[in-house]
Amino acid sequence: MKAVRSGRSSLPAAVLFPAFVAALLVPLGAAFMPLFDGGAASNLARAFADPRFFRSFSYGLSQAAASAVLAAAIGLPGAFLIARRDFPGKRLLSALSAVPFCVPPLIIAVGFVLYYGREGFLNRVLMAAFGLDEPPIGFLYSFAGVVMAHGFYNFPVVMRFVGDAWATAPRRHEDAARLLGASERRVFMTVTLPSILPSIGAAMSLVFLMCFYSFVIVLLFGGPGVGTPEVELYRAARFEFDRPLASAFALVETAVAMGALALYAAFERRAAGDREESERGAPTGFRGAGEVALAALYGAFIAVCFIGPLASIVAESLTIRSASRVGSGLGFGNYVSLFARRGFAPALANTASLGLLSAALASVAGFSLSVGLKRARSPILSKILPLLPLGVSGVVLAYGWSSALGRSSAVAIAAVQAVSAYPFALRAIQSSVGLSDERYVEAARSLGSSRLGAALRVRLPMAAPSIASGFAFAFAMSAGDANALIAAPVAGFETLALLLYRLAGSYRLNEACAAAVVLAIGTGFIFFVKDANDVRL
Amino acid sequence: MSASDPVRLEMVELTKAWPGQVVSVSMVAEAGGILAVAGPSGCGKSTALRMAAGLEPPDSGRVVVGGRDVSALEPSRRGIGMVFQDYALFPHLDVAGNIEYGLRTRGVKAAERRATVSRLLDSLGLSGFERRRPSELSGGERQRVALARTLAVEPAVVLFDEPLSSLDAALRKRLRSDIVDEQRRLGFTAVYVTHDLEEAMAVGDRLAVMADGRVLQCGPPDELWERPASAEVAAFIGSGPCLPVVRVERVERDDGVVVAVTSAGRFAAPADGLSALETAGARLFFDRSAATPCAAAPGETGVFSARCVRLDYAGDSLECVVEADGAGLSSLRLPKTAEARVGDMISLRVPEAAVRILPAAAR
Repeated sequence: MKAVRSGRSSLPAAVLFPAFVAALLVPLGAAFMPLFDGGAASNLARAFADPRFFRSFSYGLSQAAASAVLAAAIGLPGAFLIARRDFPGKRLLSALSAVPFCVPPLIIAVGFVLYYGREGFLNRVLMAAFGLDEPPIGFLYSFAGVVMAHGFYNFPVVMRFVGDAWATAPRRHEDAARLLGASERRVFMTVTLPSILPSIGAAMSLVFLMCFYSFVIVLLFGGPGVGTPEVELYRAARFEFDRPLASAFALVETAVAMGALALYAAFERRAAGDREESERGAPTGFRGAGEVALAALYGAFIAVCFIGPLASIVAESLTIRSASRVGSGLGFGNYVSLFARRGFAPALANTASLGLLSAALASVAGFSLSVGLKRARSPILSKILPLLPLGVSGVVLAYGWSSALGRSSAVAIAAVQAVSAYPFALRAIQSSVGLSDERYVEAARSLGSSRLGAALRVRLPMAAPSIASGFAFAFAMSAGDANALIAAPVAGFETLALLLYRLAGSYRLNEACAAAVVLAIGTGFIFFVKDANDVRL
Repeated sequence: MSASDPVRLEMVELTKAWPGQVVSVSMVAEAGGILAVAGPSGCGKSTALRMAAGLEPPDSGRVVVGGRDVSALEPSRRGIGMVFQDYALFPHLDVAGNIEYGLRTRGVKAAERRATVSRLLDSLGLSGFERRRPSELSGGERQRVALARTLAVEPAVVLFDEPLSSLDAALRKRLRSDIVDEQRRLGFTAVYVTHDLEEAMAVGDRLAVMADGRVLQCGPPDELWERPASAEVAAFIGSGPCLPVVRVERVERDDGVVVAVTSAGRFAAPADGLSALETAGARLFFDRSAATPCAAAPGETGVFSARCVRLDYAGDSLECVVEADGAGLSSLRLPKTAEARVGDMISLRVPEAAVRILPAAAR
């Protein structure tokens, strides 16, 4: 038999790998570069002396930490229900886990305004019910509002991560503890909890990371006085033209995020390590009326607090308000006026092409790298590199590209979004058996296939479904993303997400809702293509 | 330790029904002995064990430990311990933490716990292993820690639920004899569930064979091997051929022997309970090593003819697969001196004492 030569065959990886690194490092480097204008030390010293700097970081860190805690508090009961109980509506609950990835934050923000805002649904209902003169709920445009939006938006991440771990938490260990005399409470505290703790840590650090980098929600709800480093970076670069300050924000926030990322990776490794010797037990029905009542309460809570805002978007998009704001009726008028907008058709086309381009980039990179990384000997390459983009914000990358190129470009935006979506696409792609099990390729190789041939004829077809879901993920994230375009606007280049942002900003909420529904149909098509339960993160 | 006074475990018509499946078992594990339970995967043997332990609530039936009905008690109050598949050691606790787990739940003082842990580790040859993690132990060490963890709370009965099923063959053999040695030394009553018949026969003082949620036969392994109660048991154990009986002829002898006629030959066999068997479905069974090649003509009672389809060298004997008329393929153990060639018709003689007539299913 001919000796296997590995050098020749890694050609695609040899090209893609540097390309991917360049797509990450070039804009990152360019984003940090202005810091050296007039001396990095003095620029950093100036930044640290700026009270805004400290304020924004303490705000960013505390809102992200509070959001992660809230998301965990809301998500953990759901994780238990999904992992351990069978009940009607379970599929609906677990389908929510696609929301943080398929519904853009802008839509969540609009939904929260409609639902929790001063004139929102909830206030109107409460005022009518209790005969109040003032809206009782007024926290939306504050720290609490940001945390609440983040917590609800991201609780499905905790629910899915922990639910998966909980479902595979070793039943035999729990039975062993029971036989040794442990009460149910003690079984949970001493056996179940230790085994799901790493996944709780991983989920919370991921939520922390995503909230730390949250842009639109903070921009809309944070108010003018405060902002996360992400928002301050944007303000410094866009409105104050203080590029060294913007770079200082970029540098420090990336460093902080890398810390959170390291934490995530550490938890994730432990969570994966624990899963090796476990069996999955079938979920059971509810035990007793108490459980039924608690679960119903939980379902109602989720419906009222989270489904409500989403549903009110659809309701609002179908509500026609007259100029006097007194009478209103139902109809498709908002859609008609949205479609009739001059910028609408180009925005739709731009959204589709931007989303498709970055999804294609992300999934091609994801497939080639997941093949290439398997062979990488270095644990740094194979473990850290796939995660790295999680720790870099799209705003920083977009800012970096525009300062590297001297102008904004739609292709650069696509590259930014591809890099941001790539970790999620990669996760979906890596879950494929064809990629994780080397024996199929070895079989093809022993039957005379070249390495490239084996990749094309064995790996690719086997991985096709997971590549499709990775593609859909990346598409949803890119098409729904407004951050990069808000941070580095491209003249004359409008997308649906940007249009939605502008409509919401100018309080044309009915039309904004129509745009949100159109966008959500586009980004949520993954629901229709695939069972949301198959979408692994 | 529980050695002082071994007790009997009785499972009395423990029944649980799911749509399309019913498990209903009665078994007795004698005091101080090992009851092995064997059966194909999905036959309900693990469910039976979990019902006995109280981990699976039965629809009906009783569990009696040492004459005391424990059916209504919590799992931990039944005096029943369990060693799980893959041992289920708590990965986040060290060896001492695992062993003292049950003592902590019972509120035993720290000093006493430490003493118990080190006494158990000593007796299992694991002195000084207190601070090791389960992940740092070998398969045999894990098994002993799992046993120590179970024995620490002094159960009257220890259940083993396929403890070895994920290990490789050589290790299984060694570890199963370790289990038997410890059981003999400490004297606890044990139930040992496995899908591996050879393992079950090696481990058990008594053997229960299960299929489709029922116990087909329960007795000493040699009895099941030589005198299976039904063709179903014989087929599972594989101890010998089951030739379909065409008809039964009474002979005028006063020792109750009848002649069973099969398509391959005629056999004299004891008539016990035969009246119920005269209907179709009865099988003629003999131990697979009872048949020896002979020169006699087929037609003589106790002699049958079959075609040799396969002949494998099995060390101390020849494994010969024969095709007898109307019986399909059966596997025989022939002496190494037997002269047979693949493709030949051979005549085989079976001594009368080895022959039994079996009902299709247990009576």
